[in-house]
Amino acid sequence: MTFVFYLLGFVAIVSSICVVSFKNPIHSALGLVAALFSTAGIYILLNAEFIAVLEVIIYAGAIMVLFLFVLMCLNIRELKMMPQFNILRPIAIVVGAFLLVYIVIIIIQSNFGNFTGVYNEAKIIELGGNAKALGQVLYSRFLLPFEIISILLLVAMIGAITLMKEGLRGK
Amino acid sequence: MVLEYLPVLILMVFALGFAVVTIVMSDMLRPNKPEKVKSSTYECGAPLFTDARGMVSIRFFIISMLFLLFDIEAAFLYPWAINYNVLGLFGFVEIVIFIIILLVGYFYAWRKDALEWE
Amino acid sequence: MEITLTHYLILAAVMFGLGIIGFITRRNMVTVLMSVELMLNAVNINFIAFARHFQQLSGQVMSLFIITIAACEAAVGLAIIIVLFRSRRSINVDDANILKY
Repeated sequence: MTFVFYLLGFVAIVSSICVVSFKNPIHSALGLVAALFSTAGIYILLNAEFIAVLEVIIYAGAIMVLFLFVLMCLNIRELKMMPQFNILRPIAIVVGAFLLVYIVIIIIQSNFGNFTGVYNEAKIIELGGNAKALGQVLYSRFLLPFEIISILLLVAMIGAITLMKEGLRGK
Repeated sequence: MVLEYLPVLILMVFALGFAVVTIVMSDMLRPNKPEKVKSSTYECGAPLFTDARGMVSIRFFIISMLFLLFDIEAAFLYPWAINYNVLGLFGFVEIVIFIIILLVGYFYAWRKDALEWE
Repeated sequence: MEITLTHYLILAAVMFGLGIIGFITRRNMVTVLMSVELMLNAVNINFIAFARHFQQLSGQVMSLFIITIAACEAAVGLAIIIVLFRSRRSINVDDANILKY
């Protein structure tokens, strides 16, 4: 269990470093796929099986395909020519590392208490698994956000199609 | 509960290890004498007329974007489907509203010819 | 050593920091969006770790919503990038300065 966590965490961090440091955008995309897979493993360690499956299907499946299609719609040879990193790179790395150390210090120092809710492991097994318990919470307590999510999806669809149509008209 | 997923992890580690070991070993063991014809791309015997890394049509992006958004809709249907007996009519109305709102987007895409390929 | 909430939070913080560094340093707009996805992913880990710690399912529902929002953001953002590429022939972040007047 401990070993699995450290393995998945190591893979996640190394592939995140790959995402931000590789020059070729396609290599970065492949690094992001590795990061997403190891994150899905971490979700399984946290007893969130349904989210882990969705992470693989939606993130690593559909979103990354979208990214790769865009990289292919643009001209890859031109992409390789352009400068990939800002001149501010060293400063940004220092600032990012400083922020990171600050967050880690806060996390280590804080005490998160031991407030316990109703959905412990036994209760979830009794309800019939993670996806079933999740559905019962999602479709009762989170009724309004769930319907708003559908409007968000609609807006994203209309926005993307309108943008593409404007872009295609000049062709 | 979590330990039941250990075989999946072992399978993934073995699959990755097998692929890496095969590629590295075949790279080390094979004789390497490249020449012009041998290292050219092979496509069923037909001569190549362009590089594979050209520009792809933007229609692929529109189709995969629509796929992504409707994929999420399908993902939201799973927790409802296994809870159908618990939620009853209330959950059914809820999910019908959800689907109708997304159907508006579907008809918008249809009317705007986003599904046409030409 | 037992794996506690702190371990997950530190892992998420490291991924978030890497996402910030990528967001600031990259010039290619597509990789900038990838860094944003990395940051959203780190936030997701936080939500699920807290959901396990407090034995609630609300955190998992929120991470479901975050995955949806990430998908919408990718769809619209990538469409904007394609349109920008068509009008300016570049996806360098520094070239997207039309609004600077």
